[in-house]
Amino acid sequence: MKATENTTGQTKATVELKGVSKFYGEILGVNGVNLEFYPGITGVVGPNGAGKSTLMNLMAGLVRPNRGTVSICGITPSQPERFYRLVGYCTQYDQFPSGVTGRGFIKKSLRLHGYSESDSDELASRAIARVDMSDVADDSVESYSKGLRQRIRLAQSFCHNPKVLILDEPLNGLDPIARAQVNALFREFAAEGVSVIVSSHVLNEVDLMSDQVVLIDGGYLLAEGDAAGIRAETGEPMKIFIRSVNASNIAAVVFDFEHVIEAQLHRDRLGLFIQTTNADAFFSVFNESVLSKGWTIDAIGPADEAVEAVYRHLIVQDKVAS
Amino acid sequence: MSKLITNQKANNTNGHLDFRPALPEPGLSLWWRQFIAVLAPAIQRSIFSKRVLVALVLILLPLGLLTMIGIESMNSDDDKFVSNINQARMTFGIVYSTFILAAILYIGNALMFTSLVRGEILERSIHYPMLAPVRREILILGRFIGGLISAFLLFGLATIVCYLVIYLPFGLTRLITDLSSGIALEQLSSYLLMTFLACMGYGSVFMATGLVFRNPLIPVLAVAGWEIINFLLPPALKVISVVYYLKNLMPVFIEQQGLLPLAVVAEPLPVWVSVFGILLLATISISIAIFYLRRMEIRYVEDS
Repeated sequence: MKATENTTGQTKATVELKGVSKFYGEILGVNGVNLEFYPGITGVVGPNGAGKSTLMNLMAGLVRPNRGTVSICGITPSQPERFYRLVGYCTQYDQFPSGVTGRGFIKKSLRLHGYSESDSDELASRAIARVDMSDVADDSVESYSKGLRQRIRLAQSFCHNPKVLILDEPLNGLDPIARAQVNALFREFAAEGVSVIVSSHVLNEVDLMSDQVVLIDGGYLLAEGDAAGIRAETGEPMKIFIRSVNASNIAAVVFDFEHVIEAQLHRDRLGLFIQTTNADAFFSVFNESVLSKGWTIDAIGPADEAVEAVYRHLIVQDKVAS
Repeated sequence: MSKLITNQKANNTNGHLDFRPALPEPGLSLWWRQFIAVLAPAIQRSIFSKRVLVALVLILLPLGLLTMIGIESMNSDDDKFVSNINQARMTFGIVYSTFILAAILYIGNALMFTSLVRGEILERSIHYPMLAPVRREILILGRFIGGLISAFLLFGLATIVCYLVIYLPFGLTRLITDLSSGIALEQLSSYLLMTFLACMGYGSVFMATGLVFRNPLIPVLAVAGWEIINFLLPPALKVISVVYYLKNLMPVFIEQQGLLPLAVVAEPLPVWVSVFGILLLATISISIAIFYLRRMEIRYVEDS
């Protein structure tokens, strides 16, 4: 599949994987992956064992590909002094050096980058504030809850202002409020021009936060792009919900559209579920109809979780079939 | 949620985006900073580890033995274990070369240095330094020097205390006389040099061992066996050994064949050859450690 189109108007990919394969002995990690990532948020989605962590570790240079190349802004992991200035990686490993405080953990990391004592202090404080942990930053990491540990690791990964932020299951262990906070933080990074690459199996959240989605299973790249684009390419029908006083009339009209395969009227006759194989074409014709027939539309939108639908189509159905 | 938004707004107002201090370009200034950032935690890690407690217990063994010899020589009028200072120095030389050097320093350094990198791998925190923009040479050298400083502080201090204990039967006046005449300082310096070189030689080997082998115990035992049989080896094989170079630095002459009937005696080496031999061994071992760290892949069990 063609590489993602970038959503921010920039043409230069920050992360490039060219023909990347990784095997652990005879076990396949990932195979023949070609991917480009741009500034914005990209979600990497797949079931357990799909190869998500391998892909993230390859991008972060923690493992080396057997074939192919990985580069960030043209720099490969074989040049760690330059490479890791550009990258921040929050792994899913919930371990810390022994006996550190939250602030000490981040400061140590910054000192290792080569920042001065005062710059390290300032950068650490700012990173800690961004994950809302200023009150507990000087406590020992061992006293932290799982959610706090996750947040401090997150802060450590971006404390040096990287261009690319790779996050392996960053929402694990976070309560709903913290998840919302972290999502908002990722949005901030994306707005700052950072390429945020998030792996997750929490599909709803990936869908909500991501500009682009990469679907992976069994070590193979299944699809990439925005969820609607993937849906269009894979032929997965999209379910649309419309709320209107003219629901009955709309149902009668849209059922004749070529790409509409189902139109189901709600019991209150004010709601309508439509399944279409071509969402873009549907909206184009539907908008013309609304204008020409003077319908009143109270609400319209996707009725299912976009990524989840694609995920079901590409991965779950495939597993059931096999 | 509202709390976070408030904070974020505050951050934006304060201009967190504006604070992007520049890092020095790769070069001596940056490398020095990074070296210190590796060194300090390595010292802390070495000194305040549980393994140091084992090393401390080991140190107490020769210290206890020498103290007992000293006390015994103070109390009994006849059949003293050591009746004069030369005998005491010789006794210390034997205890140092056969006990402290061959066992305590060996085991102590194995305990301290094998955990320097391997310990971080086992506690699954090695990925943090590996994700930093730092030369792998600095990661290894900083840890090695940190371990060396810690080991020398511990074992150097132990060597000094053990040496001073041999003066128990002869009193403080004799100690001051020997110190001012230079003979005690000269001998102590030689023992401290040997202790330092032992920490450097064994430390570098064990640090590399901790990187090359998943379980360093087997190679540690294998090297121990090699070092133990060193006195039986022909001169050509003796050179591949830490203890061979170090024993050349002994300030007192100990007749090996008198102690060990099967010993093969080799020509003594000049001091500079001994020092150079250890330095060469350390350089080779550190280079191997750097090579393995550069090739290392971080992959803990639950990777998918």
